[in-house]
Amino acid sequence: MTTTKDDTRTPAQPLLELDNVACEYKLDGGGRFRAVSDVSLQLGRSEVLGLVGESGCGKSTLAKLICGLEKPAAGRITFDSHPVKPLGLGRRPNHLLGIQMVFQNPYASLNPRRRIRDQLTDALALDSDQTWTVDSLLEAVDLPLDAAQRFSHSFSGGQRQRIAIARALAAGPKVLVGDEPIASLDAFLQARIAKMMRDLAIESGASMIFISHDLSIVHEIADRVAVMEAGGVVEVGSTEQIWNDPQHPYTKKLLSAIPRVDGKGIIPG
Amino acid sequence: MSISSPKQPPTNPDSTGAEALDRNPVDAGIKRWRLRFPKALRTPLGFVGAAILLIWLLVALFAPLLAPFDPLAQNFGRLVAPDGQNILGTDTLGRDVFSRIVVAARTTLPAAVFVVLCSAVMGSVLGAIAGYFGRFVDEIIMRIADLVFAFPTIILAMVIAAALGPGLKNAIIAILLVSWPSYARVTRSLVMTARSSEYVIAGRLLGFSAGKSLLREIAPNVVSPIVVLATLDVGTAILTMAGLSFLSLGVVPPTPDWGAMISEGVSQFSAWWIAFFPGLCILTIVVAFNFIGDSLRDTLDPHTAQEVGETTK
Amino acid sequence: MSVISIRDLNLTVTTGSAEKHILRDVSFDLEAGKITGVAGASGSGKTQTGLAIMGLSPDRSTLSGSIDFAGTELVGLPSKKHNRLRGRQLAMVFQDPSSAFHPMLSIGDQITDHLRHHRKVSKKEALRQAIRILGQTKVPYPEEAVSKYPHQFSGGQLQRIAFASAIICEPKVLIADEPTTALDVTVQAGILRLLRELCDDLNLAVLLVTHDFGVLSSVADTIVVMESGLVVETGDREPLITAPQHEYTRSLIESLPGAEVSPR
Repeated sequence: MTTTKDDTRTPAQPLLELDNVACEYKLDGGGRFRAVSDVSLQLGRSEVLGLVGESGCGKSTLAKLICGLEKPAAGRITFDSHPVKPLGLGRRPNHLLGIQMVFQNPYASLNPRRRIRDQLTDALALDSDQTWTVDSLLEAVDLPLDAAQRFSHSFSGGQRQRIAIARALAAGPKVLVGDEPIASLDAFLQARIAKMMRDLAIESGASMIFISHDLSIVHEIADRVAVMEAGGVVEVGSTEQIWNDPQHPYTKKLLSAIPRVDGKGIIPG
Repeated sequence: MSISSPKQPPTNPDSTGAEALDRNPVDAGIKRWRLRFPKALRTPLGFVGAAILLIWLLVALFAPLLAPFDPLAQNFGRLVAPDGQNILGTDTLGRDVFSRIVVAARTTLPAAVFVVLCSAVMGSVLGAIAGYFGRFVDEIIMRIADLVFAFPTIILAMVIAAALGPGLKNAIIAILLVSWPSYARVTRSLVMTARSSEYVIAGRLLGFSAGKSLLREIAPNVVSPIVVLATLDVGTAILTMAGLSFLSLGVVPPTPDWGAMISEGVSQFSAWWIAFFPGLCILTIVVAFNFIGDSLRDTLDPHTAQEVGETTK
Repeated sequence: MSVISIRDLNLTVTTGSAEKHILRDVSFDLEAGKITGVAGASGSGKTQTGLAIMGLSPDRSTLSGSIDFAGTELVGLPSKKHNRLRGRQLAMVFQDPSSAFHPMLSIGDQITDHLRHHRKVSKKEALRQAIRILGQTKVPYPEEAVSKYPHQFSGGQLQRIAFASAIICEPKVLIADEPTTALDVTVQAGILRLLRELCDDLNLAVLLVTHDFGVLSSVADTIVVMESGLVVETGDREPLITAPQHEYTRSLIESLPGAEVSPR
């Protein structure tokens, strides 16, 4: 598997660094499935990295590895010069709390039995700078202030996802990982939520890894893009470079499959 | 207030907003739990159940005042049919059945509630540990639970009670030991499902330890099915206890107990009242708790109950 | 000549004491050989419109207005008669192909099930038909595919099989509810091409329900835009997408990355 390194844009000391990371799952039959193999990536400060690929390419596994939710089979992940260790039964170490995640399914990522306020307050407790309050968070994600008193089931998918974003931000993360955060939303909401995530992350001084299968959205919000296929990163480059001058055949295939909203009746590909 | 999404549902700030703003959030959560129980009883079945239960509680509370005679005194003729003086008749030793029933409520009811409470707590704690930590902890706890499940409940309770010797305390221990596994099983499966859900993982990422996420994130989501199960179980506990008393393994004579009274009555076919009235009492209690349990199950579903409670004010 | 003509369709669902108006005076036509796209956000009633044609409106709901299917009035049609139309004349394909099939039955059995039910053909003949129809929907190796099980196929292939199952009885109307939403982008194009071909070759009247204007821009002939149960705009594909008349349509299209809407 070829791994393209992009040394031109990242500063000398990246905020997050993945070094030849691999991850394997045990299969029922007794074999092993290598979901991620030999991935090396860097994420700089105040940078948005888009991670693009189709289902089963290992991008979600990579997100879990970064958050310490999976154990790497090989390689090293370093965050802010600390190694990322897999999460056990204990508390997550303080120096890793700077990595927070927004999940794919907004219907599962909020606790149905706890008020929104309680869930946000848990996250606020982590941020020693007191950047946010429950009210300012809700305002930042365009929700009415009385949302704090309600339970998650009274919100639509897009609203829930904004609450999940607010919760991740409340912790004052340095890296915000979005694992397909827009995939289960209406097309009309996707770009809006993605842009909101980008703006909020950058404004609060964080970096973001935005995982999506949709290159056209990633194009709108990412500084750099990494394209994944079958567990490996096949191409990394600046968004413009990937969008206008893709090198790898798989990237070209992905780009050409995006339907254009031009009303011409042309089926892509 | 900035509302920009076209899909915002209409919000009603004065109904939900002001109510708990000044409240400490943890307090609000607990109060919410307390507040929801009475609402559960507002369904017709729940109301009937609660009414029956209330009557029994009053009976147990004022038993000495209600009982016309001394429940232990053998003052009357043996096996007198219900009449003006002994309204529910007398038993083989000439004791007043009505007085005995009324006084027995004081032992049977608290014992049943206590035994259910203990086994629910014990079972759900063990089940939660098994479900959350998995692996060998899970294996050990659940294999013991399977062991208990392998015997019919009453038989195992009999064996344990017989080994410990007769008496109310031992009967309670016996029932506790045979009834916790059902709570463990239910809790374990609920916790296992909740454990891998994204909101629990999100909590772990926010720095909750396993134990804290179990208490704070998972517990609120598994409590209501267990509460329902426990309510339905009170009836079973009374029946098991009656069964043990019936086999002379529960309450020691001459203390009055419904199960023991039935046990005495079945050998006296001609004196139907000795067994019939305590049986009727057990029936009403079991039915009452079942009504309450059913009603709780319907009302504690977050998707129907909370929504209705919060928007229609 | 339209195959299906929907006029003033209203749908209300009663839950408890609350009554919810899902569709309000919906009117549009489906024509043979044309793909009509219905666009809208979730909860706009686009799926319920499709289900109403199929006679699959939710329990405790009331439907009023008219759905005229080649002279047959579908609103208020007895469920037995509707059942006879379903599968034979009206077919449907759903969003998630992986849950649309029974996991324990072979593909051949599943796609010929209603053929045998409605047409009473022999099992051998049904299987021959199944192989032909899988070939038509470009499922690779149709002879072997009929004896395989759902888990042995990818999502895209399963969706092709779902289309095969839908057209095996030669229906006049095909309702496709978000047929590509659960699929990868690179697979989506193939399914859209298949939908276009089936529509043209079999002269099907297709109702394509989706929230994705990219999909509509690729294959739809006419587009109906819905917002909370109301049709806000109906028009031919290109003018509707490039110069939407209604503010809501415009906001939907403008929210998409790379949309080319002419300024007003």
